[in-house]
Amino acid sequence: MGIFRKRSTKFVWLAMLFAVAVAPVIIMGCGEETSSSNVFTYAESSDPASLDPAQVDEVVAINIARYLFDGLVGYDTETSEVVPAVAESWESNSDATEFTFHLRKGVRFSNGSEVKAGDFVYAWSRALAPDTMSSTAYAILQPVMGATDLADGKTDKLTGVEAADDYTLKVTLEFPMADFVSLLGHPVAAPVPKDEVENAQFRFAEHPVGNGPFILTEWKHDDQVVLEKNPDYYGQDASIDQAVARIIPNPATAVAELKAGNVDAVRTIPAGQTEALRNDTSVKFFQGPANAVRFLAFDVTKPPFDNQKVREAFAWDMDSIKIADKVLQGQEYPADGIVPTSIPGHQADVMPYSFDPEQTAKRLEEAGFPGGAGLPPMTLYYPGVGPAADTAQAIQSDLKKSGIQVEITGMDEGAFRDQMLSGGMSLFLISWQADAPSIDSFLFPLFESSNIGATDVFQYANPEVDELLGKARSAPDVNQRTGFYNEAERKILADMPMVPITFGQDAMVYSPRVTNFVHTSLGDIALDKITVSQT
Amino acid sequence: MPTTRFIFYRLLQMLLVLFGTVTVLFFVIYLLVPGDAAQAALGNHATPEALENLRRELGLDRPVWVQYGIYLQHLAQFDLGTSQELQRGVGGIILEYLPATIYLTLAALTLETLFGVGWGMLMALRRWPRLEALSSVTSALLLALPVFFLGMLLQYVFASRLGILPISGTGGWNPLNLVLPAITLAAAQTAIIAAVTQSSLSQEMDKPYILAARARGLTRAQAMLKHGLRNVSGPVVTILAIDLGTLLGGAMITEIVFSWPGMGRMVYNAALFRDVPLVIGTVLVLVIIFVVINTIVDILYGWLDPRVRAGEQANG
Amino acid sequence: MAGWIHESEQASRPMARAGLDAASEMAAAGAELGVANTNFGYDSPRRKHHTLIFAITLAAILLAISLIVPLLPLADPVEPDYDRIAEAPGFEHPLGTDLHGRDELSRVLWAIRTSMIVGVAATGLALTAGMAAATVAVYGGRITDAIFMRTADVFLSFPVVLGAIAIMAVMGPGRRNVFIAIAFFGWPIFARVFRSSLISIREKTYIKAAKVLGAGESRIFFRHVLPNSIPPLISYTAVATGGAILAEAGLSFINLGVQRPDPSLGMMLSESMGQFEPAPWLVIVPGIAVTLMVLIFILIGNSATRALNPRIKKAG
Repeated sequence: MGIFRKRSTKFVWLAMLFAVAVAPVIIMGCGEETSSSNVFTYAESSDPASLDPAQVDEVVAINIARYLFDGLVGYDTETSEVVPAVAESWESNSDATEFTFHLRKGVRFSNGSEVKAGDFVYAWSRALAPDTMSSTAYAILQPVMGATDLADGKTDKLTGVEAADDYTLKVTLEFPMADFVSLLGHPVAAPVPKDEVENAQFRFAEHPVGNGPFILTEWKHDDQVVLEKNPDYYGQDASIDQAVARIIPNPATAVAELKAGNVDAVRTIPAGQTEALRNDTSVKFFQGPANAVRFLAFDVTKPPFDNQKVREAFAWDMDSIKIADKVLQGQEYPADGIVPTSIPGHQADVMPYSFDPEQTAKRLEEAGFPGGAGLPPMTLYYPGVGPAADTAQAIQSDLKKSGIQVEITGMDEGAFRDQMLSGGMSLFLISWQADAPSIDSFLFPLFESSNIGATDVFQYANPEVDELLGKARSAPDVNQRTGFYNEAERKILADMPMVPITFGQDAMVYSPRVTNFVHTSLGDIALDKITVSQT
Repeated sequence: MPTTRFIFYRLLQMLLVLFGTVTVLFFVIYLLVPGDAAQAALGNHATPEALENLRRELGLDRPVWVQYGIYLQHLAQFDLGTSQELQRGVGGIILEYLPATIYLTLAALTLETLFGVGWGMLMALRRWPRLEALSSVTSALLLALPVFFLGMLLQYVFASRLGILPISGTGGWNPLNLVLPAITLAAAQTAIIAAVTQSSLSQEMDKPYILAARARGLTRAQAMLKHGLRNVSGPVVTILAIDLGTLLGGAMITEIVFSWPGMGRMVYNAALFRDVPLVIGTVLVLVIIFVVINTIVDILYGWLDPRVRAGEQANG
Repeated sequence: MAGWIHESEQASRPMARAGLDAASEMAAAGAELGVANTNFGYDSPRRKHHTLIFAITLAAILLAISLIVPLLPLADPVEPDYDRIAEAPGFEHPLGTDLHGRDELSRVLWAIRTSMIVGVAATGLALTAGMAAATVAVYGGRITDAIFMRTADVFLSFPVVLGAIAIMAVMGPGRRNVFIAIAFFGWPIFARVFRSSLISIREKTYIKAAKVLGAGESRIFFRHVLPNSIPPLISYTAVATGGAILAEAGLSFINLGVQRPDPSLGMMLSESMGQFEPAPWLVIVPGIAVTLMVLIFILIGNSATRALNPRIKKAG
């Protein structure tokens, strides 16, 4: 060991010499990467579980599936308004129970066959069928006549949808819903080619064949998903020739890759680097609304969370402002309700509580756990190693000060989703991002009791809320509809199956190589609109 | 012990170990997995009837030894079961992730052979008063550096600072993407190979036949290359071969640090999913690869060197 | 096989190598280096005891620190302070603060304590279990011996991190399960080494003489066989402790070990990926801490072999 003391400087030099001698050998033979220049590469945090439009239910898969499949309608990139896609036009009867869609001619799947009304009938029936195991189909297609029976396995036919001819699709609803069309931009309502789905040689989830602006050409699991521009696309062609989604689970690695010039954009950035990246002149920083809410969720059927007072104790201990500003370094902003500010019809400041540990102490005492004594051991689960992990630690620390001891356990995002859907956790952190820019897509899937076992992860059931949400869906007038939704939101907050913490913003970084970075109001990178410099 | 008996003995031993491994894995699942496979597959909301049906289908209502028999029968037909999360056959998933791991492992083996043997030869050539200390320190450091720390250091230097190498994924099998993970994976083994080469060579170089060769006018370096190296290739090749088996399963942390789409990362994700069939199936396949490679090396080595065959009996 | 374990009695099978992977392979490699005495012949004979004493002193200091950590006047290692995020080292926080405003010095010391406790306790358990198994095997007759040794083979064929992953998949992550995994897959190495050692000592002339003189079997065992069989285990134990520390750090790095907010060196590193430039102390401090800890144990392993085994002559 004497060598460490006596000759240290010489050894540093020798070590450096050694490194210098080795480095050229390592780099030898490695040329510059020469790929076609009109390629946009971005970092995603996890491998999609499936690219079958009926099964996509998390942001990574949805962002890809949106560009592989075009449904009847789409959403405007900036305003989120419903715009025609495969349907050129549509009309409904006066009480909004029957819709007729007129399909564009000459829209083709990438296998060459034409998209016809029958493909929608097939796709919707298939998505709802229990065997397809779709967690979103019911939330989106529930208004269609017969959807509930089909989802429950009582029939195998979706009665409310019918192909009047090849280019006319008639949809009958269970109840009036003026806003029905706005649900249909979700990939789950997109057409799928029957013969490809039933092709036993390829699993459709891995080899999706669609009609969108891009075609899936390669999917190497946990490595990359390659999309190529669809040459036969009916709409406006994408500017880029190829989009590559690189699967890089660690956001810090992804940012390093961006700086090294190996990816053009990073969709999730580490909270701890937000400030630094905002001020970094070598990369471009983007922050925009994401229509997402981050919340603490309870399983309201499991003790101690079946006790309203316990849930309230947690809620009064939630320091949203600290979490938004300090922990997440301004990546998100404090929530003032369940529905984010960016959603039309948002009502401000409906939160029945704020950060006040004294109220927590009071609620704990009322619940029979004075000072937290007598509470069973609890574990707070969170997904991934990003913002949720940081938020979880902050929450844990605040709860501890009030005498509430919780363990925190992180899980990979996929595993987390799996556990959440199977009801394996009773206290967890999660973000919900809207499928469509409407209040409905926050309240209905999460809190309507028929979604228990799927998206109602709280096992929450309140008949009054169900009724209000039903009324809202069928109200013909926008203001009336918003009124019902707002009332439902207040009722839900009073029951407190979850504690909203922050509203999300999409914080992304991209390279100056991206000449026109287009982010949709739904939180996707608009692969069909983005342009990159070809030098 | 005659050669054929030795080979037979080793193969028998291998089969025993494999059988034991399978048994251990089966009982680990049977005894430790909470709930059962049916519960895991259907989730907590499943109806009792559905659970009952699946249990009957999977044979979970039968006594444990019958289940063990079913398990062995499936294995004999190369059926490793179905992944709970991905709803696909475990065998197919393994085949999908195996190439990336083999690619990385072979690259690491190449690096450690080149640098390890070179380094060892250099050190055995003669006494280098200053270099020996450096070599000693480097060797200990390479062994003590955790792969993830080394990986992070390399990522910082070569991607963040110099911006010359990618640090995640295969980049569509771009050789540049292979460089850093392969170095990270090879680092510790390089030190071992160097040490073994140096130590065996040094001893070999003192043997009479080398001295005779040198008396014929060969320099020490020539004698080492012409005679010495061949005679110490045994131990080095042995280590490399065992490494192949170990690295296939042991590249996990390297694969995670470099977002490399290999077996290690796959089985890690599967563990996080609590996807027991996938984890156990993958572990089983990796252990089989390891044991088989080990046995082949043993047999080859014993075939080449009668002393080992003799020693086998004493060491059981 | 394994001609590289030159002069030790265990020269036959790839036992130290077998079944160790990413995190622990370096430590196992260290064991080989120790056993094979291939430290590039740097240490002069005069120095070898000095090195050993130096390394043991360091380890003792490390152990002492980790035991008294709770008594030290340190900041709370888990309590965040979001007004002091990532502060550079200064008067109040000698090693700065982390991304949650927690004192880095306090976290590192608590993490070292965790590493040491898991490393020493798991290795201790594996060592005890291994020794017990070997004793039963040697004194229990041929059949018992065969059963125990084949069982050891089965466990040896699991790469430790892979085995740990299987255990995590079944039992969930956490510090306790890391400890179980390391001990569960660590004992066979000790069993094999101790068995060879027992067998060779039992055959020694002075033991036979003691028997002839009428000493009882148990007296011979405790007075003569046991004390003389232990030395070969020392370097394995030291290096395995280093390996256990690496394994704990590796598993915590991939979120399977110690859970947030408790500090662990591996997790601290994974949390500070990307912090090289803004807050280098968050990467350097835990990285160097884990490397040095492992280095100390490798050093003990290497120098102990040389000090205890005078027959090993200097290479080169």
